[in-house]
Amino acid sequence: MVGKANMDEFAMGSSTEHSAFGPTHNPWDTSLVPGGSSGGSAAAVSAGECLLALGSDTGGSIRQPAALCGNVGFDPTYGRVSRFGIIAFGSSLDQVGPLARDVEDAATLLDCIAGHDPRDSTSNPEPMPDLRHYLHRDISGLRIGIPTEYTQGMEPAVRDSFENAIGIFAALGCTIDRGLSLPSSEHALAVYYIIAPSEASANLARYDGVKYGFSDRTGATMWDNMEQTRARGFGEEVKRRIMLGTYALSAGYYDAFYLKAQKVRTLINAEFEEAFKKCDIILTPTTPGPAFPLGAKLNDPYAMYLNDIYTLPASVAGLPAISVPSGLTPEGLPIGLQLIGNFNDEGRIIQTAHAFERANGMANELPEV
Amino acid sequence: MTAIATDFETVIGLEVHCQLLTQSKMFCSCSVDYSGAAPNTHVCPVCLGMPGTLPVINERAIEFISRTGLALNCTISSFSKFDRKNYHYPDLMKGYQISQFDLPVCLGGYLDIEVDGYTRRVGITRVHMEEDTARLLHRTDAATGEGYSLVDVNRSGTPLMEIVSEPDMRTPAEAREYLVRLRQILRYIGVSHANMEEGNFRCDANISLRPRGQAEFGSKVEIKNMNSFRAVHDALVFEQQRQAEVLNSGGTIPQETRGWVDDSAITVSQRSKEDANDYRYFPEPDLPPLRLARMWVDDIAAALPELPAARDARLRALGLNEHEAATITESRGRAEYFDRLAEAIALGPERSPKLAANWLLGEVSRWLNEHTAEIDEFPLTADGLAELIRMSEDGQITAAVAKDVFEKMAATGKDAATIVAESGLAQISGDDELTEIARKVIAANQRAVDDYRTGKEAALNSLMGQVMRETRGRANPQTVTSILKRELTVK
Repeated sequence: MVGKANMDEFAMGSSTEHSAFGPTHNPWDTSLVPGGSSGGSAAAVSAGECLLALGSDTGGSIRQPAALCGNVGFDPTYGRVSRFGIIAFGSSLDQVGPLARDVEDAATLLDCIAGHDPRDSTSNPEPMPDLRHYLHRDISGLRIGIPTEYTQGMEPAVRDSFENAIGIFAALGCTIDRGLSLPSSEHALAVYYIIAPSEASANLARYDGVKYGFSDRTGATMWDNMEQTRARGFGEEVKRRIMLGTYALSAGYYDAFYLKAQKVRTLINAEFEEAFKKCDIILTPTTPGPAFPLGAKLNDPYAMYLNDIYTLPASVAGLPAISVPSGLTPEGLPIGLQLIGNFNDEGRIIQTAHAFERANGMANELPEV
Repeated sequence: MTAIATDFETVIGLEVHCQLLTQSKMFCSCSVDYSGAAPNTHVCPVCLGMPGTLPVINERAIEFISRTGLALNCTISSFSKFDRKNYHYPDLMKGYQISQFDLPVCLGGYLDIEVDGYTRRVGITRVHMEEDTARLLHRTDAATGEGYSLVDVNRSGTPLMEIVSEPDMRTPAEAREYLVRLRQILRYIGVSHANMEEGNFRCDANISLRPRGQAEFGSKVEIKNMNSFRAVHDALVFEQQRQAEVLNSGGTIPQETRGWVDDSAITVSQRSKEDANDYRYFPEPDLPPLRLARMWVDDIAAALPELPAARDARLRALGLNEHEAATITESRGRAEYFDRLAEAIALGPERSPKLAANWLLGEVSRWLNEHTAEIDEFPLTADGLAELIRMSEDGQITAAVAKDVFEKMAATGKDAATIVAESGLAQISGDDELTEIARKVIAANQRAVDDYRTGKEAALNSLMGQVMRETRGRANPQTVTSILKRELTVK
């Protein structure tokens, strides 16, 4: 083990700027963010500080920094990797996965960490196939779906790279369906920002200063101490989400927010289920744009949240999704391509991503550090 | 005070929390056998609520709650789920309690109770599964006089079952009887010690008053802090009087939580409805929904023991009176001992049950009381005791000797025949032997003989006593009486 990577506090953020240790910089351009929340992991791999890193993905926290740092980042099917030992954020969304320089390394690391764990009741009982078995395989005849809805905020460089990727898949003999429709996916952001904070509001309730961690004991009463501990101990973004979640679960709001979000989540799942009858892999960009400057979105939470607009639907559905480098912007910044697969179909994702990586010839491209 | 009964009808519903007799905790493998243990010795990262830990459902607890639901005539849900109940308190390690909100394991049952000769069916709204909290120990610093609290996490995560009744009870006596019967059932089916004083059986009561004949409920008051059945009864009596006085004087009852203060025997306001917590229940994402297979539930139903009400009816059908049947069925152990004893006595359906009841409620109960023991600690097997009872019944030993032998059996563990043989306690029924002794006694007690002959019947008792003394109690009393009468008449 080489070290512990920086990340957004409690995995809440898309830029690794919400950290008590200070922000992480993007090795491709140190004035830019590396993405987040697992930005430290992505930056470490990208800077050549390590071969492999672990990250946790609740709404895109592996894939988005992987895209912004030019890595491969793989968020497996919900339940593939035990959550036991992982500090919980959004329990129904949290997954651990690898960040690596190429698909083969990512597959190798995921092989090591996946598997059923009786200590995690949401752990997937299906055995994970040997992912290395899916490397170096032909993908001709594979059905690729391009959802029409994943276009919001997409920058021209990302669009060009995405079109180029589609061309590569066509050249590899895949059938391309550009008419795939996932209309409920546009609500994934709203669903996510209700469910994840709701779960987080409970998951973070234990940090009350009574048992462990930061504890403010200057108050006159036990309640004062608890309040001060939480007011001073948590960062702004964490407090924002605790309040969001507490609000969404409160009497009188539960039906309108949490319950509605769960219903829409079911709709999103159903649409993916239908989609995977028509295609094997769903292709989207990982992010609307490349890495952005440090501080650029720090005071605009919504703009920050929009960075995860393409990664959130798969998270909400619990589907496996990988981000692989697809190209560089004219300014030389990495762009990521997201491949979403069906439940437990990690093998096919590795097969497809590896074929793309070889055809695209961008693996192991590292910045000058 | 007496005006209450005529003006208002009391409406009572009870919520009972009950710890289950599992070996391990609800969501981790820590032992629940922490009674008397040093604080924080039965803990692990899961029940301490450490970051990164996850719950795993205790299957045995689900079996126990299903058993409870079946014994209370509930429907066992094939699909239920766990929810998080959110609130902050230092005894709540995770900042939320894993409980069940809208889909509990058991729904819609009932429990029949009998009070003052009438039967009341009390509906069971639901029985749900949750986890107990840690325990706070409040201390005072000897040096500074300042108060502080310590947390003992041993109890955290103990399986806890909440049994919620419908507001079907109408008197404090009914409420107490409901608790007595509920406790009896929980002990019968072996799911809980159900001991209120030990804190593994806790009760909160909801009580409201309404003008008799009105369908709509009055606003309810929840009473907490009651640590015995008597306290529940007394708190409800106090509260129905208090509420009646308020209503009679034109006041209204605010919906609130009140605490019972045992020492002063009053309830005091603790929390108004406005201050009530918003628990923000939502489905526990760390646990999948609970799906109970029909066959699994059927197996539990098939393995249920005969329940108190059914046993009571059966014992009465065997010829036992109400008091005998009720006392014997009070505990499952006693009831099962009765069944074994009656069968082992084997003197026919007319005599065996009655003899078993007499001995169980007589000598056995006395022995248990003297030794402050439970029936399962009683040293005599049903077969051994039955042998003694048969020896007494067929006249081998007298009733007085039988009691003596009973004591010796309990003390030495020897069987009845051995003790009788060793101590020469066999009853003397032989006419010749007893006639000889009777004649000796008559000869030695001329005064009593004269009294008897002049019509003082009581004098016979004195002679009888002399014969018993001579035989050390082994003489058959009927035989002695007839011999004495014969000998006294002959002369």
